[in-house]
Amino acid sequence: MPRGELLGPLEHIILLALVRLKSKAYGMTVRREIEDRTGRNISIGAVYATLERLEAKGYVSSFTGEPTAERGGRAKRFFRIEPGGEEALRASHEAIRKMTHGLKHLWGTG
Amino acid sequence: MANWLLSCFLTARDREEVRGDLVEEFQLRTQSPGAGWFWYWGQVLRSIPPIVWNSVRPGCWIRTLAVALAAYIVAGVIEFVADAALSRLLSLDATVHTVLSLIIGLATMLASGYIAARLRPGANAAMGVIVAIAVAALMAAQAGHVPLWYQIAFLFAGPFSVVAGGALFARRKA
Repeated sequence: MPRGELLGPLEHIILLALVRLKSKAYGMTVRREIEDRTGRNISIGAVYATLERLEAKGYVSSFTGEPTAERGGRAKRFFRIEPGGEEALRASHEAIRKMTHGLKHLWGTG
Repeated sequence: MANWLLSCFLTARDREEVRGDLVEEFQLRTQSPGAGWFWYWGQVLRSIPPIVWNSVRPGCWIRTLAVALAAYIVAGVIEFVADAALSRLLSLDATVHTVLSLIIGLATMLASGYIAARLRPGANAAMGVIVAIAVAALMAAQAGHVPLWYQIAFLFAGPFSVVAGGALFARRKA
């Protein structure tokens, strides 16, 4: 990640979803993981647009799986986080951790 | 219909995967009450803006916008010349003239959308947005000069023709 460039909020959340889903990360599972955990009902178009942006930056890679019947014979496109993406995620987390240090009383947790 | 609409904006690479994801989740959701077509259409309509934005911005978005604007201007000139020729060469009834103008206009938009997409990926989507804004502005500026049905028809069918032109190019390329 270029120095000083942080991940956008949706990029951050989607990379975290890829980490959680591991080998099961494709458009639908990423969208559902985000909706289940954050309550954000984002569109599948926003998921793909963000994943393609991350792929262009080299943070994720993708490959096409086998077509399945429950998808009307259409293939899945699986996504995987790359070392550059893990580094970007760590850097963004670190920046947020530093900026929130000492402010926990504002949202009443730990 | 929803699938077709979404396909107009997706690249050939994404088309099957995105539609497959929607179909798979739709199947899961229809097993529980209160979900179905409303959700599906909501997903399709909310997916279009990020897909359009994503197709416009790679590389240099200003180039995409420039191609879209150039295609729009060329289409406007062709439409104007064709309309002037129609008035000069044929003495038509006003309604027939308006219908022919609409057909020429939409055909020009379709061809321009095709060429814009060929020149730069995403330029047809940007051009569709430009057409929608321009027609809405013209409607506000010169209400009464052209029949309302023509204006409304062009407001919806104009951007649609541009996007369909781009989809036609994507289909041929695939």
